[in-house]
Amino acid sequence: MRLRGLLAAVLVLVAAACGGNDASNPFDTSSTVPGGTTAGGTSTTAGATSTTLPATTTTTLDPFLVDIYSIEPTPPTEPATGVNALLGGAPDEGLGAVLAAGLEAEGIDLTGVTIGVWPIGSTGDSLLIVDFDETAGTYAADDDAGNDLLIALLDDPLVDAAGITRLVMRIGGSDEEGAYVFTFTALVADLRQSLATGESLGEGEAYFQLERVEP
Amino acid sequence: MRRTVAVLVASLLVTSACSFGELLEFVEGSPGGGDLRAPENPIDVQAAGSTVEAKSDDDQAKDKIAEALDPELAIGNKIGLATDAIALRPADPRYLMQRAWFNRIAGDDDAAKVDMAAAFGLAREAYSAEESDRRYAEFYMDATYTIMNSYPADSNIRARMEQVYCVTLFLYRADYASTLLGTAYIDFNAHLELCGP
Repeated sequence: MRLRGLLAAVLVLVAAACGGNDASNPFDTSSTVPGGTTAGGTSTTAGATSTTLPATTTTTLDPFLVDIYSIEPTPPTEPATGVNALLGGAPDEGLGAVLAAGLEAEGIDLTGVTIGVWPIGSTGDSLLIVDFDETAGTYAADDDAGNDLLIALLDDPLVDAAGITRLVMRIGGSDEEGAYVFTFTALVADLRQSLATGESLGEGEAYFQLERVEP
Repeated sequence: MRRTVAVLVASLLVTSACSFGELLEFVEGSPGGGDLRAPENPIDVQAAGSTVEAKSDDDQAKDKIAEALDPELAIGNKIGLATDAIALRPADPRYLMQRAWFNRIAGDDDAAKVDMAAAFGLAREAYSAEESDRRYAEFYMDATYTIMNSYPADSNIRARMEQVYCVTLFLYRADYASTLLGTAYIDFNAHLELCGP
């Protein structure tokens, strides 16, 4: 935080120095500089002793520029409930895109596949969510394609760095009555073990759910 | 046996071509099958079973924000739409940050501060302490970028927000460029082109 504060100060000073004081300056900075041709500093000389009082510089920042870390976090007034308690925070779509790019770099076909990361409320862990839509035909046609995807995905060091502990696969489908989503989930550690040894997931290690969804 | 998981994945996709009834029979007949949100399941399993609902809420909240980005819309209406997004995802810091920006643009710095503090509080709830600071900065940059792009390129608001974005990115790089997740964000999601070398 000390480094951050120092850098913020430097940036403000650079912005002030570069921007001038005209009306278009986004940082609207004003300064009082001692000595020279401007009034401000005071110098008193008596014999061999010279004292210079410290100068005062006043800087007014653009109200848009806020040190976000100087804000004291306010805990929620009411505890989250239901889905908001289970999946608070925000999905990390950026990290999902990074993981997808890593898979594509390994030649894995991601047609119809979307990858996302979502924090699990108040545990500090995250879910890795892999969505397959009805265009993900590669995975229905080739058993090994699913294996290759999971091996590469769970091997990415970002998975552990992001605190991802559980994989969720959601498969979208539809029938004459409408759309549905089939969800499979297992712990990342159990899946890694299964993929490494070829052993099946044990009873209670894999969960399934089927639900109707709005189209 | 190496094919166990692959067969599972493939079978899930193949079964998606089945009728809902057949799939339901498969789910209910399997150990671990049923409603993942059942309270007897571990929290992370309940969370896994809630992702469809959460995504649906989030998509609706995003639609509200997309509506709020209409340049012709009055700032008060933008604040109202951000409030609707917050109602849909009350534990998500991003929508509070977006409302904070609309309030700041409207000149209500006090309201903006309240929302920023609440957003920070939600980030602290959802992530570990170290992680929450990083994600908080990312949310702020993302919110800033999204909203500033709804203003004309030559506008004063756009220019000022761009400076905020670049200052925040500069500080973020100082703090997180040496970390794996920080590097991933900078390389894939940050808009370095706005901020010079």
